[in-house]
Order: sequence, then structure tokens, then C-alpha cells
Amino acid sequence: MEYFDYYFYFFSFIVLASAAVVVFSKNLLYAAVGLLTTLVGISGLFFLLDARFLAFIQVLVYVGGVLVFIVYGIMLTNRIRDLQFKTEFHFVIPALVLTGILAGFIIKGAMEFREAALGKVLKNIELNQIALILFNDYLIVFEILGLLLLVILIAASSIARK
Amino acid sequence: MSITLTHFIAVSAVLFSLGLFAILTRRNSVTILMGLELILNAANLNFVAFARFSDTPFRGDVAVLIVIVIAAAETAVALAIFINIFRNFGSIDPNEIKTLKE
Repeated sequence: MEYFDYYFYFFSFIVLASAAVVVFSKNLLYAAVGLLTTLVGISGLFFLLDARFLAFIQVLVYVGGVLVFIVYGIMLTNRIRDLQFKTEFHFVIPALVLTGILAGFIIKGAMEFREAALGKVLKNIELNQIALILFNDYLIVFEILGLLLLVILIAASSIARK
Repeated sequence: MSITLTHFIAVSAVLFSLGLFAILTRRNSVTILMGLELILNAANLNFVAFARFSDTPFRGDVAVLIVIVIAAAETAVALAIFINIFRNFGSIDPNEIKTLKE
């Protein structure tokens, strides 16, 4: 159980350090990138708490949706003049090292892959439990959320339009 | 394992405080929105942590799902409003938007 502790401190450090960047950075785009790493770190903590579904949803909705929204908001509401769009290469060696390490982990995992491991994942009861609770006890809430999303979609596009 | 519920609550509390600090001190509305996201994520972490250490381990997940949906909706509306404010005032500094007060 030692590894659990190490992972917990690792993800907590990522979350809190990048949250500090969000709070104290003068540059808005740095703050946005800090928010990105904060959300990814929270997703890692969800993994540690055995909430895999929520970890996926966190990356999908927050990092994929909300953060893109916020970056668009920064671009549209600030006059960014000193932003340069360079296309040169830099950090080649560290990038190669990091990519190599990641590729090594993936290949190692692929070599150790067995059918039995897949079966264990598929029998995971977490998703079943969430679905049962969501569609039995909180069905009305779920429907209202769907309606809310529709209303928000129409309202946001009509507010943002001139 | 030596990591207990207290550790998760401590991380969440610090995250909440950082978010609150951002909301209170920053002078750009988008950054205030980011602070709001930090606070919501601290709450989400608490939901999951408390649920996992309790008798009903999956109720918290449903609450977190609902919070994530509402946070996304709130961000969409807030940014639409910010774009309109920027069009009318030329700035989204909340200190300069005070025509209702005058």
C-alpha cells in the first residue's frame, strides 16, 4: 500500500501547485494552463479513490469542454497583442525522453496484457451502481438536468449573439 | 494504507481556500470564473472522498455528476455574459462595471 501514498502525494502536489499558479499568475493564459493541470490532478485523485467513471468524465467535460470555453473567453475578452505564433522546435531532448518513457510504459503494459485482466475490468460494479442510483432515485433530477442543458445551450448562444 | 479521509479533506480545503482567494482578489472576470471552478472541484473531491469512506459508496458519484453538468452550464452562460459586457464596456474588470450603481 506504499504506492497509494506516493500517488496521493504526487497528485495532491500537482493539484495544489497548479491551483497556486491559477491564483497568483499574472498571465491569463498561464492561469488557464494551471487550471488544466489542476483538473487533470483532480482526475488522478478520483482514480485513487476508485472513481474511474468520474475520472473519465472529469477529463472529458472539464478539460475537453470547460477549459476550451475559458480559453476562448480569454481570447475574446482581452486584447492579446504580444502573443507570438512561433513554429520552431525547442525542448527536443526532454520531449524525446518523456515520450520514450511514456511509450515504454505503454509497451510494457501491452506486453503484460491478458484476457483475464480484461474480464476483471468488465465485471467492475461501479458503473452499474451509479446507473442504478441515477435512474432509480434521481431520475427526475436527471431529466431536469437534460432540460437545463437545452435551455443553457439556447440561452448562451442567444446572449452571445449580437 | 496510511492515507485517510482527513488527507483528502485537507487537500480539498486548501483547494477551496485558493479558489476563494482568487474570487476575492483577481480583477478579471475570467479568472474569477476559474476560482469558481477550483471551489467546485474541491467540493467534488469532498463528495467522492466522503462517499468512498462511508456505507453507501456510490451516492457521492451521482452528486459529482450533477455538479459537473451544472458547472459546465454555468461556465457557458458566464462567458456569454462576459463577451457582451466586453462589447459594451471594453473591459471585464468587475470594478469598472458599475453603471447600475450610478
